Order: sequence, then C-alpha cells, then structure tokens
Amino acid sequence: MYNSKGRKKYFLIALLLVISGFLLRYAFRAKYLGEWDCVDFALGLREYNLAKYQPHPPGYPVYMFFSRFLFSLVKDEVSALTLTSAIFGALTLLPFYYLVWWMYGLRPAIFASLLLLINPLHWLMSTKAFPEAMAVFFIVASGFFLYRAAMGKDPKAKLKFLIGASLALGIGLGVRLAYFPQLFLWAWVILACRKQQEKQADKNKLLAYPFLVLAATIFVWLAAQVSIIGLSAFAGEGINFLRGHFQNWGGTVLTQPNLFLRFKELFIQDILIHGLGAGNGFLRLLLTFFIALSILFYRLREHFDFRAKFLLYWLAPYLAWVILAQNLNNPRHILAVIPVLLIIISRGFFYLTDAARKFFGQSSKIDYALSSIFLAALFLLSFNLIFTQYREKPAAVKLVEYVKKGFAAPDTVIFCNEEKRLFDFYAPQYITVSDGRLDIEEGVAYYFYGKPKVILVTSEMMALWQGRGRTLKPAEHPKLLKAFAHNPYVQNSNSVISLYRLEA
Amino acid sequence: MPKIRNVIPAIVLCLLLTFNVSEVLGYGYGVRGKDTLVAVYEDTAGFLEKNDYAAIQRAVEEIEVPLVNYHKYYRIDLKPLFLDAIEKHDKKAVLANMEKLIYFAIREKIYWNKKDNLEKPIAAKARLKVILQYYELFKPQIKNYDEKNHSAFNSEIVELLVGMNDSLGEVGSFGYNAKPANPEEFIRLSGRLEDVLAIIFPHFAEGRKAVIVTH
Repeated sequence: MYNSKGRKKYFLIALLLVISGFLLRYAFRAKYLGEWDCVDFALGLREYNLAKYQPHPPGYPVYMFFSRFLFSLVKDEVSALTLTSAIFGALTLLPFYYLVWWMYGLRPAIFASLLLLINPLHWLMSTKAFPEAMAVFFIVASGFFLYRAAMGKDPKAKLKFLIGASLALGIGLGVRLAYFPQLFLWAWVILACRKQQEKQADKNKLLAYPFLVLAATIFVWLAAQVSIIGLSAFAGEGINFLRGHFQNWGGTVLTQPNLFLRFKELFIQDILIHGLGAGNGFLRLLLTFFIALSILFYRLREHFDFRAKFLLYWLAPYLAWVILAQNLNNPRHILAVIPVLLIIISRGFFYLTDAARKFFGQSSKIDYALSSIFLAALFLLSFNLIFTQYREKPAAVKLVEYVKKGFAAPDTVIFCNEEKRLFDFYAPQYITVSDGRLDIEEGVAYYFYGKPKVILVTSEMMALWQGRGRTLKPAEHPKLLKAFAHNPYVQNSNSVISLYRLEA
Repeated sequence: MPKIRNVIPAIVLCLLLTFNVSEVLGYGYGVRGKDTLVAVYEDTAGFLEKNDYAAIQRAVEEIEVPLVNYHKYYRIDLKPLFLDAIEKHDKKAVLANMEKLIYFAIREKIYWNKKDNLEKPIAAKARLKVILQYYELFKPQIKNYDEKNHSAFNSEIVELLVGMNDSLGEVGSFGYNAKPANPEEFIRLSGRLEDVLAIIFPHFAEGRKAVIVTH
C-alpha cells in the first residue's frame, strides 16, 4: 500500500492541504493586535525584554526568534507575527495528515485534515499574533513521531522516531512552555517502546537517546534566552510571573475555584463552541448534531486499543492542566487538543456514515452527502468568523482610536485594565493607569505629569474597582461616552468595552 | 486502609479549594506601577550603550505628556533639545535632557503638594513615592559627586526625603496614631531638596529658577 507511487500520491494530497491551508490563512491574517499578550509579542520583536513583558515569561524564545527573523524581512510587527502563525498553522496539516493516515488510513486522514483546515479555532489562531499555531505544529509533529515509534517493530526505527519526537517536543516547548503536558505522552510511549524490547541494550538506548535529545533541545533555547537577559533576571521574572499568574490575573483554579463552572467553561464554551463550532443557530446546531453523533459512535464502536489510549494520553494531561492552571476565558488555550478531538470526531463520523450506509443501502451516496454537509457547514461558520475578524477592528483598538481622535494626550489620563497594552502599542503617548488598587486621585498623582483636564475610565477598570468594593463618588459623575464591541466568537476577551468620562 | 495514590487527588482538590484566594488587581506588569519617566530614563540609558538612537527617538515620543505639559509649566521646551541631541548622536546631551526632565517632574510633584497644602494625603503620599523613584535614578551620580567633592549630599537628601514624608502626616488607623500634616516643614525641606539637586547637577540651574505656572 505504501510503495513509492503511493507515497508520491499521498504526499501530493498532503502538499495540496498545506498549500490551501496557507492560502486560507495568509489571505485573512489579522490586521490588528487585539489582546494584551499579542502586544507583548509585538513589542518583543523590537526589544526582547522579559522584565518589560516584551514578551511575558516564559519568553517564547523559539517563536520570538522565528518571528524576529520574519520581522527583519517584512518590517512590520503584526505582519511578522501573523505570518509565523499562517506558516505553521498550514504546516500542521502535514504531520496531522500523516498521523491520521498511519492510525486509520487515507480517507479518515483526508477527512480529518479537511476538518482541521477549516476548524474555526485553528483557522483563527493561524491568523493571529499568538504562538499557539506554531506550538501546535511541533506538538502534532511530536505526536506523529511518537505514534510511528510506538507502531514500529525494529528498535532502530523506533529510536529514530523517538529522537524525532523529542526534537519536535523540545522545540515546541521553546515555542510555548505551557504545552509541557505532552511530556506525559512522550514518557508513556518511551516506556511502551522499552517494554516491547528484549535486549537490555535496546531498552537503555530507547530511554537515554530521546531524553538526551529533549534535554539538549531545551538547553539550546533556554541558554540563548538566559544569555540575553541573565540567569537571575530570568529566574526573578519567571517567579514574579508565576506568582501573578496563579494568585492574581491568570484565571487559574486558585482565583476561580468553582470547579463546576470551570468544567462547564472548558467543555461547553472553549471546546464545543469556540473549538469545534457547536452551539446555537442553524449552522452551529447542524455542527452540534454531527459532532455529538460522531463522538457517540466513537464511544460505542471504537475498541479501547493502543490508538485510543494514545489519544487519551495526549488529551487528558493537557485538559487537566488547562482546568487547573489556564485562563478559561481564552479558548486559545485548548488549541493543542483540537487535533486530537478532530481525530476522534473523524473516526466517529466514519462509523456514523457506515451505519447510515447500512440503513440507506450500500449503493447510496449518503456518506458523501453527510460529509459534504458537515464540511460545508463548518466552512461557512469558520469563514464567517475569519472574514469578520479580517474586516472588524477589536473593541480595544476601536477604543484607542476613539481616544486618539477626541482627546489630546497631555490633557488626558485613562484608567483601564487590559486595554492599557493596546495603548502601549498604538498610542504610547497616553498616560494609562491599570492598577485596580489605586484611587482616581492617587492614580493621577502617581502617574500623570500635571493636572489632566480629562479622566477616562473603561468598563474593565470599573469592574476591577467593583471587585474591590469601590464605588465612584457622586462628585465624580461617570458619563458614558461610547461602547465598543467586536464578535466574541472571534475574540472572547474584552468583546464589549464602555468608555466613561469623569469630572477632572 | 486506602492506597496513598487513591487519596492524592482528593487531597490536591481539597487544598485547591481551601487555598487562600487572591483578588484580581489588574493584568500583567501594568500593576507593578513603574513611572513612565523612570522606565524611559532606564531604557534610554540602555539604548545609549547600544547607540540605538532610533529607539531613543521612539522613547521620547512616549513621553509627550510631560514634555508638552512641562513646556507650559516651566516655559522651557525640552523636545527640540532632545531631537537635536538625537540627530547629532550626542550621548551627553540626551542624558542631560533626560535628567532635566526628571528634575522638572520632581519640582512638579512638589508643586502640587504645596498647592494642595497637603490636604489630600493619599495623593501627597503617591507623589512622594514617585519622587523617591526619581531619587533612585540620580543616586549613583549623587554618590559619585560626594566622593569627588568630599560632600555628604546623599545623606542630606535621604534625611530631606524622610523629613518630607514625616511632614505629610499620618491618617492613622480609625484616627488612632493620626498626625497632622505640616505644610511649612514640607515647603522648607522640599525647597532645600530642589536646591541641593541644582548644586549637584549644574544643568538644573535654569529649571530651578523657572517659576511654575499652571494656569
């Protein structure tokens, strides 16, 4: 089945997927930075400085290195970052296609790859200035190599694939360290490979070489990073960031301890709605129907064999990490598990179409009809989101532009939360106060140079104040100037921001 | 007796749920509260070491608010001086202008405290906090000056700052341990601080003489 002619044909299919993936991602790259973190990356292209959160710890060295290379060519921060996402978002289709091919064969591989090609979250993240698309490429590549290693019979071949997996994983962690739960899958496959060996020498090799390659890869990007900023500064910033992430603004289980709500947010909002396109509305309902039936058929028909275990070891550690330590308000954190879920859905979908063919008759084209409807609905939904992002500015950018148009910087102070970072990038001349502990009087005295004629407050800052039990004095007269919004399915955070003016 | 591995998840869950939950103060490094002038001063020193004048130009664009407002208050426009120094790649002039700007900011914070007659204690403390940040920037040069001239201005400045802090008074806890502010003492000490800085940094002379006008 896998002779040289077949190999060429399968590669041509993969190439076609990658090229179409790149074109769909490149053509609709985001034109604006809409969130705090992507501004960190953009500012880091000019000056890599963890102390200034350019970018924030752990520093994303591989992502920044590659984007900086592109920045030297395209000379524009947003273009460089989104181009990185588009390139690696498209490239992900290559290891993904081959992984599914080796797991379930050609047709499921093509179908699952098409699902990934037009998946709403993956498509969106491959057009934004975030490292997720690049990191997922390396995670999927390591998944592919791990699967091949586990399936290989010859210890030499196993070793070759384990080294490939370790290299990909090591680089992937340099892109986004938060994808470290993939280490569980890596360790599990290595142990499984060792178990299959009889000779002790082979067992030792299968443990030592992958470990050394992983350690060496991590050492390269870590050493490069430390050489730029110094070991103590690196450690200090890392600890500060971890403390802030877990105890203050990171949206972890420590600051949002309601586990029921967190499960609901993860599985309903992040995975089903943002990640897979389910939900209300005609298209989303149609997709919910296909997704639910596919998962059901997978559960009923699939045996709990090595492949199912492989997917489980990929999925479960990362979901546990997300539920405990990631901000569930950002659906992008589940991007690493989208490929796994799509493999499960495509496998279940084939069981579903088999059942439909049995029901309607083998000669019927019901499987093609169902596949076409599923893919068409997914494409329409995702394209609508991508196009909305392409033509609509994020709410925070609209806010910055409104302030720039209406208020001179020397007269104005703005109390805001995450929008501060957008001012840092698009209008750094404005004085912004984002410390929720400060009173208005104190904030002005501390941060402003002179007496402002205009004090602006965003609804995000109002929410912070409310959380601290602070209400505005009657004399401060908040007056609503304007509300800014964007589609929350395109960007979940800060989708509605109101701007108020206070008496100076 | 249950196996320890079966109990661990339950223990972890209990610890998580009973952990002291912190409040959200704001996102990222913005909550650390570094003054923009301090940040730009430190950045500029770094950029000067690398001879990166394009980065200095960008940094100067970030401080439009103090440049424009202090031009009004002191009737001294530092922006063209900055641009000229950047164009000529004159390190000394860039640094001197940055120092002048910081000195303007110190005088401005003192001015508002005097103008408020220290009646807004939270704002007065906040201004003094920023002055302390500015002092930290000048500290190495002040110590250097002391060493060269066998003077003790650094210790005097520290005493002045401590005295200024005391002169702001204390709100106390529910009135207990409250101390009234002493505006006269604040004026005396802050005036001396402005003078001492102008002695150590002779290029502050013009800024010291300028009378601040804010209306």
